[in-house]
Amino acid sequence: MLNNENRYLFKFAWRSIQRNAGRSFFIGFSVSLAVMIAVWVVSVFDGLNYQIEKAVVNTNVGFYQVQEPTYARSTDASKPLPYSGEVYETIHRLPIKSASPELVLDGNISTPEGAAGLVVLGIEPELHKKFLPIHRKMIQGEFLTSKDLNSVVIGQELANIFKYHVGDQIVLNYQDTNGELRSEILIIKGIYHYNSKAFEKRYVYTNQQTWQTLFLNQYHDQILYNRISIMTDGLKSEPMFRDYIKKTGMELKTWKQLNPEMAVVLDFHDGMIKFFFIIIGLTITMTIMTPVRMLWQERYKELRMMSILGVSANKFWKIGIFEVFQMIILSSFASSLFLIILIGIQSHTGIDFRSLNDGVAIERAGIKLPGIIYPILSADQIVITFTFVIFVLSVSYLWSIYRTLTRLEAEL
Amino acid sequence: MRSLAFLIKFSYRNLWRAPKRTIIMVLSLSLGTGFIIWDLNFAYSGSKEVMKEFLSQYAGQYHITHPEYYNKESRKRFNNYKTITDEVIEDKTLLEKSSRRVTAPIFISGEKKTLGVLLTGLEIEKEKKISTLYESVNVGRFLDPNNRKEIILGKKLAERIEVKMGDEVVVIGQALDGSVANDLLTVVGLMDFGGGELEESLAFTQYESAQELMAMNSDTYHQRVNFELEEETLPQFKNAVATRWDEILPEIGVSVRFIDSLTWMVSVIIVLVISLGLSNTLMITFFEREQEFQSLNIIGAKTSWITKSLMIEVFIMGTIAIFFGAIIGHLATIYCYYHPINLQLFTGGKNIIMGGMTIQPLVRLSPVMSYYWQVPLMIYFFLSLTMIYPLIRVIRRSSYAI
Amino acid sequence: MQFELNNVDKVYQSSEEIKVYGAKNISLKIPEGEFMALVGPSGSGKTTVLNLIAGLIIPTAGSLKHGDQDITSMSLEERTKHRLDYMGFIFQDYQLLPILKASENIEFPLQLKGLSASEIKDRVEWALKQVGLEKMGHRYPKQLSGGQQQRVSIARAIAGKPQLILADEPTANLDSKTAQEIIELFKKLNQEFKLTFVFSTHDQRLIDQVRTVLYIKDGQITEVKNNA
Repeated sequence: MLNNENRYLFKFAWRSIQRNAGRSFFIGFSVSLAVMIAVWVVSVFDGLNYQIEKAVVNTNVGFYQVQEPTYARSTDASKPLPYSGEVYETIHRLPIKSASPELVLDGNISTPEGAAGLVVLGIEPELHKKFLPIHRKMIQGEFLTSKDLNSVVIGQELANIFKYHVGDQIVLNYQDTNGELRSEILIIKGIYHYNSKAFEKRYVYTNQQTWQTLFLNQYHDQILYNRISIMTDGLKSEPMFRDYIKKTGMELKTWKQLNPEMAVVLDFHDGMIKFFFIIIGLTITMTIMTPVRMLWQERYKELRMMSILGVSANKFWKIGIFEVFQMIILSSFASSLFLIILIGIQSHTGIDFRSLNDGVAIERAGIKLPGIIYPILSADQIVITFTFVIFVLSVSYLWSIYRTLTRLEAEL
Repeated sequence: MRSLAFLIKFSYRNLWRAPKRTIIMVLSLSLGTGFIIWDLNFAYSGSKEVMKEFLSQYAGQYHITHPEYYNKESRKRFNNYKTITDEVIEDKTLLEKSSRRVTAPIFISGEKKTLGVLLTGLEIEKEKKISTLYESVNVGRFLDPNNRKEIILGKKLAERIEVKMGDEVVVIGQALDGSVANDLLTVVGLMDFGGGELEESLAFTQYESAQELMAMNSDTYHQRVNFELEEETLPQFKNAVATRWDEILPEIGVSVRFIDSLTWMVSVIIVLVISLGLSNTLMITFFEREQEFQSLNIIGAKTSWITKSLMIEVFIMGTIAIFFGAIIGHLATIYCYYHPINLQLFTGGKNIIMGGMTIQPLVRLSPVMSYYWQVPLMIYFFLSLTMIYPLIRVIRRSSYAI
Repeated sequence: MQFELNNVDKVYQSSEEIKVYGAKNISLKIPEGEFMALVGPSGSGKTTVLNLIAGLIIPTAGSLKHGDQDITSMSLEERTKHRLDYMGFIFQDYQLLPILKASENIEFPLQLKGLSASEIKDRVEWALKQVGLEKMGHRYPKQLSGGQQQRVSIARAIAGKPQLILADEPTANLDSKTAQEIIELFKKLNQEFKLTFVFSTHDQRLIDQVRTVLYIKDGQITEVKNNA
């Protein structure tokens, strides 16, 4: 790749770096450190966003929901569809982790302790266990089975407010599919402690049979759904999901559509980070330009001598470019190494940001955000690191070379 | 004193021996300082503006209630049996600036669905004067103070219970005398909170209608909501209590404080990055003069004198940069007062939702005086750190033979 | 008070076995009013001897005294102060501070001494007069010729009324006419004010003008010649 001359020039460039080893190191180190800090902030926000997303999808929302048309339009649960083999196949052809068909009933309870609006989810317990780990979060009693009748599992916060225990009866008030106001007695089979207090106060689980009996006045001997909550690795495959589900006549909603407030929080973080990056990029470029320029100015006499000996501007550019290339390699690897080590450690230990909020966790839209954030290191960030370093060093070095050679040309 | 004057003159002249370089250093530090001041002003006054806008819609700056109305452990829970009258408010000027509300947790039924919501009875005329709630009604109209039994709902709530303008809804709750409270109200308007969750959990009616529903006397109510907080201290009462918004909505308060803290963190990072560049430049500048320092030492200047002159040089540069930076930051802030910033720039054009409602995204900045000394202090601190390594090199190498 | 070096050695040890003598068994006295030159080829040790006299380096053996003050036992700071109080320096490349005017360059060591404003003013004027640059005090070094810059350097050295002036190749960067003028100036200052000069030089014109010539080779004084 490099002919003899270029190899020589490459070596010359390397020796130039070594000649001012201390200063070259300092310049490279400054760029590495600045880039590393900027990318570290990105990784922290990526981690925060990931944890926010996780917190949201774990409020029984899932990354996606496939909703039958009536429910999608007005959250009217009166026309659920069968979760047939065909539906199952359709859903499972997509890259999903788990899917839970659910029936959704808005009800309320009213006792001397007060009143509360509830969301009663009719689930198929074995399928739901793969979707959310509520069955592992039971603090009293047991989780549901598909054979239970008139049993429910409630959250700890609801139990505390209304002083419920396992075995107690609750009177659920609701309107059935015919619009009639009904009150039915259900037995508490278990109490879970999961997610936030807002979640525990609101979500009550029962099985399909009980739900259908309550709302539809009969059990249809099959799994029905108003919505299918789906867990995936993220929203990367959204376009594929949309294309697929469109053909089925059902509606696909992402968690961002279901919780727009949190979606905006993520968008806001992303926007802030981009802005921050630009500022850091400009700042480091401006402040590194001068020391790089000085490095080249110092060599002016010897460049002049070389020019007199017959070295052309083209060769000076080559030397400069080789020097930039070597500095970029060194700085990029240094940054990447620092990042991998730092984020590698912090992705395990986490960073406790609670001190920024007087020890209080942030809560938005009923979702408790993590006080300890685990930064995420991704290939994207390493690419960003390299790009950033290339930009900063290229601009600084090439500008300095240009200025020095312009002066040389003017004088000779 | 004269020798100090000479030292300062010497340091100042040294600063300008390479004018372009000094200008670049001063410029980068000024721009950094200006940006940080602007950014902090943006975060603080932005938060304040956003909060004011958010609070003016519904929540208010503080509520005057019965001491046991709000649950002390969690102000999300309240005891609706605890009411107050105007007698508990000693300072009668507060009555003018606040609006009475009756709160009624009820179930609202449409044709097919019943949902639990919070029905709030409002003093219509007062609310229109001191809050911006009525601006959220974009279908139909706001409540008529001369009518009764009207209701306005969140748009999403109306969709869920499948009611539209002109429909009647049944509201059922528990009155304060223990009886079942129920009534038929007519939907006259729908509110748009941008799809936030408050759109399906709030409904409003006339103050008197709510009192009637709750079987309350005409002089009793649950909250007096104030939208102005002139001083930071809340008014004190013997038989009532004032609760500030950040106690009622702690999550919002925490979010705001988090943004402030984050902005300071970003500022520190920016100063650190600038310091790295400056340290480089200073180091090279000092290296260039190494021979000169040696000559000075030979003539009789002690190392301490030389380091003093360098520190004064950097201090002068820092002061010039901070001065211009403060001006830049201030001017940028004032510009953004007259040309508000649209927060939707950060969200790709999407609405900003906070506390369940959309907030107006335009933010006017105003300067916060404390930043104009805190930021310079931080800059001086980092400048001192920047000098450490170059000065150590100078101290080590400033004594040298001919 | 005279400066005295007694059996001074300066050894640079590059390894256990290899010792290099920068100066070996140097003994010399510099009385007041002396006009002396250190002469020798490059690498002979002239600069080392000059540094030893100035107290910039400490001998490995022997002593350096100024009157009854033992310079070898002083700390770095004390030696710096001693140089300020008793010595003046003239450099081959003038070493003027480019950011100070001529008069301010002369003022510099006087400021370090902490003299009063009026005394500084008087001394600066006197020094400028001695070197013939009364009207040039306001100019910056870059606005002066080489000879003028060297005169300013001389004025800076004498302004503090030092007991000893050390000059390292003071005429090396000057043309012959200017060099001759500078040499005449040195002579005048020595004769009129009894200022003591020690030069390190190759310049034969200067060597011919001094009272005492010390020939140095391999760090040792090989010959002392008196020009009567």
